[in-house]
Amino acid sequence: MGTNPGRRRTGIAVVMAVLISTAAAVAGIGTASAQTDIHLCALPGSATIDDPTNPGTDLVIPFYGFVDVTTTMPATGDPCAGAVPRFGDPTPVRMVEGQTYTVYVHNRTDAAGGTGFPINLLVAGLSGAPDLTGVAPGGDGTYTITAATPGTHMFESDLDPHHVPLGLHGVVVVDPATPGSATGAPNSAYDLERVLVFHEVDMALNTAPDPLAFPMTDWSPTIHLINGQTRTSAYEIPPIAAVPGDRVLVRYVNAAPSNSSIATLGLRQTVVNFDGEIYDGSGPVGEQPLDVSAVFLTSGQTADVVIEVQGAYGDRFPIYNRNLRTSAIGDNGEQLVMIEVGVGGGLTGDVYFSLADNVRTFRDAGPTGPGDHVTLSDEDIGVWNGTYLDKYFDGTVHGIPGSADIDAVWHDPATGDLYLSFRADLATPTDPRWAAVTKATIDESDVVHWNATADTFDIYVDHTTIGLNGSNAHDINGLQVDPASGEVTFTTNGSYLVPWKTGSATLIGARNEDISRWVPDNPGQPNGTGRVDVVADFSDFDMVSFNTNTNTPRTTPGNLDGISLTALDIFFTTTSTHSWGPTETYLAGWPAADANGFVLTDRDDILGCRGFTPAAPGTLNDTCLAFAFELDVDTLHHNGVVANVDALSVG
Amino acid sequence: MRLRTRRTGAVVLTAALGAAGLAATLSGSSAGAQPSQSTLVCDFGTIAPDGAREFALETRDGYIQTPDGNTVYMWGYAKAGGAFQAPGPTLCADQGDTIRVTLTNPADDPAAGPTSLTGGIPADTTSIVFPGQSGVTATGGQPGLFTNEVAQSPLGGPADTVTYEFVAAEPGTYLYQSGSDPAVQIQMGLYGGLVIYPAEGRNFVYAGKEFDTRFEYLLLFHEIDPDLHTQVELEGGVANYDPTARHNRYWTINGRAMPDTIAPNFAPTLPSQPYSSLVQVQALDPTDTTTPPALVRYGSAGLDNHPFHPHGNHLTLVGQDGRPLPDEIEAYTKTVAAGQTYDLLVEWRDVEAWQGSGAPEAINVPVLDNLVFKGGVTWYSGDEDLGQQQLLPNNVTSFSQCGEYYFPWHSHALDSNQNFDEAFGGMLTLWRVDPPGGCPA
Repeated sequence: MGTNPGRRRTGIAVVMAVLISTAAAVAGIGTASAQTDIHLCALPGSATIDDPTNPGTDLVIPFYGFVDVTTTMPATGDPCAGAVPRFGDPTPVRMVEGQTYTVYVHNRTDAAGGTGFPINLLVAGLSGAPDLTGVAPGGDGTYTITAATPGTHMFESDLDPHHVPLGLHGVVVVDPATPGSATGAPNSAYDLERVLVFHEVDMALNTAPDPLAFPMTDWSPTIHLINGQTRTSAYEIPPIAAVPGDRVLVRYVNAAPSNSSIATLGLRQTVVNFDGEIYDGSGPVGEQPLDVSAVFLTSGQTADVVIEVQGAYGDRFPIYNRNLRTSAIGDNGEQLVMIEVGVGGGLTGDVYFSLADNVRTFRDAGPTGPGDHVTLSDEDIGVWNGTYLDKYFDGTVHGIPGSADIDAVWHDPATGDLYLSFRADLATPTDPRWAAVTKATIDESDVVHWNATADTFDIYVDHTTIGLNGSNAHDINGLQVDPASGEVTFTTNGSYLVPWKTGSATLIGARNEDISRWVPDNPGQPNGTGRVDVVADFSDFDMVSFNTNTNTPRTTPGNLDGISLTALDIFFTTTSTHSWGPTETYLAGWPAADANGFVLTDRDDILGCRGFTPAAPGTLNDTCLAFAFELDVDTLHHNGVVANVDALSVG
Repeated sequence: MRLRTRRTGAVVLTAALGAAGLAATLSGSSAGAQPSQSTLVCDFGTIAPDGAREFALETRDGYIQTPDGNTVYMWGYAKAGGAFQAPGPTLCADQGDTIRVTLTNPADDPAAGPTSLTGGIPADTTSIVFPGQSGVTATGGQPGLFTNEVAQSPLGGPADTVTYEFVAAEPGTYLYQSGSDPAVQIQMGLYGGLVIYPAEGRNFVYAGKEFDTRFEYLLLFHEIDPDLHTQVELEGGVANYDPTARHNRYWTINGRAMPDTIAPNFAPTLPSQPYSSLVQVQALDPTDTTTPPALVRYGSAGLDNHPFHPHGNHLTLVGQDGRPLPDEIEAYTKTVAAGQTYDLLVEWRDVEAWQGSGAPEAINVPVLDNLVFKGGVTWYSGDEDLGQQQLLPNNVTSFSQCGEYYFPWHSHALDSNQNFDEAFGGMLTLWRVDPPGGCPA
């Protein structure tokens, strides 16, 4: 995980289905290895951008482009059927260093009634002898590419000088054998990556009746793009969402005939790979890692740079073409992408959850795709890894009765252990794996630990240690554990009051929209003495039964249900749909209500408070930089049954 | 915005420049121990009570002169209350300083008349960004895409002011430039240089990289399409400025085009273009192992990329964009892309054995015709050995004072070595190698 943070993860069952079909189709072609076959279609296409000279008006650009159909091609028939190329497509064809690939090039430049033209394939730095013949329109060719050097490579058809300006270019990323870095060298390790393809258009070429007859001596680009888009538009180039400390790998590909100086403001960029030369500190003079503010790329060159994100939530740092080529008047340059700190950082990593519903079946959602139905009961833990859903923990298999409902969970990514709390008191199972739990009844406010290695259970924190009284209001319905410190971060089903410190007569309390933390005095020993802190007051975000702005009751209160905290964000679900009426005023950060009010979330939605900043001690001004819908669990299956997520753990 | 009349008198001024400027350069360079008259001109600002190094800047419009007798309407950063200048003042600081820069775009006062030097520029908003710096804060003004911006202050009203502050964390050569509508505003001239000296002192470019402070140079590159500038001047704003129509006619180093590039700092003939770019060094005796090299800092402030090189000798590249390179790199042509800066050490130590009287190898005396510049003038001394002078034919004027060498130092994109179709000119300067010890008085 880590790429494309914040996207909503839907439709994966479709992808999986096609992947399987593709394997069959590839086998039919008679190649040796499914993993090393790549299918590229070359097709005419059409792109819509905001007209740089007339902002607010669409400009349609005809072009020719490659599209990678390896995972989407139909099982039988023309592999390019239904394929749609994207102008300036930054989606890389991924290869692994050292592997040899067979690249099938399907020339469909004659699609849509055109006559087409021959094309070829050249992968910069990886191709061998140039193919001077090419693949005829309607034909298919094969190229053998050995992924010799890690990093970013441009591919193109270079049989004719019109091809690249028409859009026949793309990106190959060669990952090192060990993923997580651009080149395998430590200085190219990254948390998230983005490919930026710089390219240019002269509409006279792209709209010519016979583009290949266009005199290239007249070619003069007036539109300057990144990934097929301009900055100033409804089709804006998406910002790079990052958090402080992130190492963002930006892969520059200069597919434009012009040479460009790609600059940053506010953040430096370290060149770790330039045009196939690895700058890892071991190379000769002139090939050392460069810490720069502008990278000069001549036409056809590529560079991998690592940008270490600093700053605070809300900061924006531009990456832009410092040559400032623009056809817009009064503009800041069209080739510009922002790194936005905090906004959109969002949900990354695996999502563990439990339902409040007794049984819900997620159809076709499992790792093997169609027909792989995943059924979750309220005593089970499911996991969504961004690609498919799976059952992580089956309660009844581990001696938990089917009548029980896990309503709080934390998954320890280091050990696989689970920390659980139940919706209602539970008679301790007689299963021998529960032998360490000596009391007869597990309270709904207790935190139970499941040792994944030994498959045994124990009480991690007894509710009486914290001071919770075992009532339904004190039910822990969302939790997170730090095994090193023994801290338990939790939210309750109702209001509670407990001693602020073990043995103290002074009480501290919170309500069901707040998040508290049990901090043991002795690190790692949660069942000794300690104290309770309130770490987040969601009434500051109007997740409260009372509107603090208007002194009126909310239409529906917000009761935090599942919670999961990262260093910077808080992810959460609520116990019920949270809405407000048209006259209610909410604090900044939430979407505005319209005449009908606003339904904030269904119970299956996982929300994110991004950029949580606690208030100064003694004040009530917690802030979230932004709120976002992170994941709609209902979209993970196909039959539309509404689920209710009541336990959540991210990572 | 006041509309200004074109300065017809400029033709006379620039016509006189060739001789006047060069004479000033040469006569000023006779004292060997003295700094060159083209060396870096630093503005160290003032120290605030809290210890910050403060610079008060204003945006201002004015004119530069070009060697072909033209004048070009420009925008620029100026010291608060000071006159328009191109480029903006070179801001200098020491590593660790807190740098605080305030910016206003002053109101135009119609009552002050067309010769007023206090007005601002007709831009909706303007600003400064500091490429290569981290943690720059902006206070005041209004949020813009890149940073906070200011509008032109109302006449008689409160000034719209923005204050930028950052720590000069890393030494090196940097630019500062407009962060508002930069494709237009940088082209109009809103840029300047920023030099941060390392903690070791102002005689170092980076830790361990000492240079001879008498010979420190900053060369800022920029390009100009005078039609666009005239349009902004005549229309009093940028509403119809079309950047796609840009067709450069002038290419400048430090706001000047050759031959003005070699006139000394603050040449009286170039009142709004104070900074020279003549690179003057002294040859080092081969046995001299202690005198550090000269330093040349490049900065490509305009919108284009410039392959820049000296003739006569190679350089040593030690820094880029305000960071020391892991290795010193022998450099010749270095493309200085838009927004980039480079730091290069320059040394002349018995290059090609052209040392003293009597070179060890036979050297053909160049054909004089190849050495004579326009108008029967030359920089050639008449002798191939450094520090030697010989008689030259009648009607040839030599600018050589003491047998020093001159070499071109220029953008090898030779279309930029012109002044509105007149070659040679533009993005071209000279470097001058004096004999060891300098020219005798």
